[in-house]
Amino acid sequence: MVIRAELRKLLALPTAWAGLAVGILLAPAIALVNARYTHHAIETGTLTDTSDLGLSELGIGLIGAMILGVVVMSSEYTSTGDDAPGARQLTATLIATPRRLRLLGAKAAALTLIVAAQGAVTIAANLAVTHRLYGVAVPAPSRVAGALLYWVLTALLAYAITLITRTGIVPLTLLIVNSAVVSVSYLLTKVTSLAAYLPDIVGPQMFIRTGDFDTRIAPGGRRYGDDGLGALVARDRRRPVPAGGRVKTVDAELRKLLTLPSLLLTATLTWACTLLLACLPGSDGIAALRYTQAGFLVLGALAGSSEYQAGGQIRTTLVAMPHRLALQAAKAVTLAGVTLPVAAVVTATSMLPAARWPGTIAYLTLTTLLAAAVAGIVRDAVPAVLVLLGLFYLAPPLLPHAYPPVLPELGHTAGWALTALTVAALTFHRRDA
Amino acid sequence: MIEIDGLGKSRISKSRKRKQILSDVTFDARPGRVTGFLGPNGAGKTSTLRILLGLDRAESGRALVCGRPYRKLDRPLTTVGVLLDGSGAHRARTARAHLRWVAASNGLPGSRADEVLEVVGLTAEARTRADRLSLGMSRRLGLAAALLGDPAVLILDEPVNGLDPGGIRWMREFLRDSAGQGRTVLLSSHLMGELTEIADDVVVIDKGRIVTQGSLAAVTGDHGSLEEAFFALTADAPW
Repeated sequence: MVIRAELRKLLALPTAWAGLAVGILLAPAIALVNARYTHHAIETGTLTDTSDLGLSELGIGLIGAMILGVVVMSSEYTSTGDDAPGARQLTATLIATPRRLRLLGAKAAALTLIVAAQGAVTIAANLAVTHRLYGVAVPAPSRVAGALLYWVLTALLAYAITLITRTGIVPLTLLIVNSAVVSVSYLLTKVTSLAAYLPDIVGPQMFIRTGDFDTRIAPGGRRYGDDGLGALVARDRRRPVPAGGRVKTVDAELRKLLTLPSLLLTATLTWACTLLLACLPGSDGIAALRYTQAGFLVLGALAGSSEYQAGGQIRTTLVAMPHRLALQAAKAVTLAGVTLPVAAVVTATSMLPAARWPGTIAYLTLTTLLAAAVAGIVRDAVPAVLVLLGLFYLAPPLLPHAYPPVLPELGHTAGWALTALTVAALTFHRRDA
Repeated sequence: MIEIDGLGKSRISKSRKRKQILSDVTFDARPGRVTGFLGPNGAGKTSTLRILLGLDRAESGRALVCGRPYRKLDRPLTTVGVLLDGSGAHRARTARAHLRWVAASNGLPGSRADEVLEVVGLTAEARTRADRLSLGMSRRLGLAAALLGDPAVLILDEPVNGLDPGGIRWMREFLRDSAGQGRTVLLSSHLMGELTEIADDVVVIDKGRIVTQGSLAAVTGDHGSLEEAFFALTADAPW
């Protein structure tokens, strides 16, 4: 009864369907995109062990399982309306099902059912695709079962973390960053053998045989080329802006950013994680920053989406500052101003050689602006964080040939940030608030 | 002075049909008078107000405040005070922090935040986060933001929603006083009794069309009460 209610609840959420679709489609899509490259690798003999084909792409599909694990819980804590930002669905749930352990069990059961079905479909589809493409034998049933088990357990792990944090951003960031090229868990195995029991180290061993992950270029290091923001501001200056209007808008936006507890928390956590990672043996500054740039993505996403959270602050903002392009420019300038010192402190903490500081600080600031622009377009922090982390952490290693090596380079990052900001400003200018 | 002239807007519904949500909406709200904007749920009241405030775009027509589109106003809060649904504050910010950034955005001194908190009786809640405020207190915080710039025009969407009896009486007297001092007051409501007590003029909207407008007495006419008149005018509403 409770399980049926939970199943209905979960399947009535559009986000859950997005998670289902993403999970099922991503892995086979990656396999198809990679087909030519993989064929080439097999022919030239660079790829000799084909036993992982069909299973190694599943990692990116896990993002769908994570989404489901997160929304099953975070949806309970989402505000139900602007009139009462404190009102949440959880109240209705607990009135209907007052026994909490039973409720949690039912949620876990509903999640397991859906995610297991999703995992089974995805694995079958992916194996079928790779079988057709390369004619490789289907892996042993025990390995397939292991992959399915890992799929379900990842969703349950996301569910458990969300249960504690009540927001999806934390579990998604932790799990996605940790599934990146060289995971933090992998680094920890160098410190203590106990880390070998961490879920993302021990889990894939159920179905993956080879574990060759090469490292990628890290952020930083190029000249500060583009004057992206300057151009945006300069173009906007041609609009008739009321006397002193810009200064006041920046002032208001600055107050907004500085009084948001979540931003302060994210900045502090990012700094603390950088410090922690920089202290790991064998870590240079770049290694630490490669993970903690996720903190800047989250920072930007939170800043960009805060207007659209419950309470309807966006209406107050637009009623107070109706010149939308000027407002958007002020927002970008303010966020850059707030992020710069944070980026400077974090970079200094990372033990990076001082010669690379300016480039890295600029890179981190631009990354934050990019994240804010994306979050402003989708008007919600969680999907923005998902898209950004997927682009920064999951896509590059899976698409080594197709993925342009753009993101870690400063000039390109500036280009991306400028493009995203322009699209965000135009969308913001045009659409109904 | 608020002039709304021939507003039209449509929206594509789930069934992929184009639904007209506003058709040729035209009315004025004049200084020194309280204008009540009356209509059933979903009639187009909030859509009209959102277009008037530059939040949404109309497909046709124009809406002016003091002779200008809202988006062209300089320091708009010194001209117009706005109360829409909810508090309009981010849930994690305190009441005072919210009012201070709104004040800063229009170049108003930060001390105005404490002044308007006192006016709406929220001084004790100045350091309370927006998501910890009760529904009535949230509305008061929204009203406080509307009063920051001491505006000549007040635009309020369902202002008495969520207020306790004391709050409703306070709001009534406040709006009457504001009109008495020469301000333009436009408020939407579906509460007939409330409007009878405070409105000078009434504009009735139904299914996106203005069905009647005029002074309270003229709209009530032979119907005996505003409520009777309303049901006669919006006869095919589901109740």
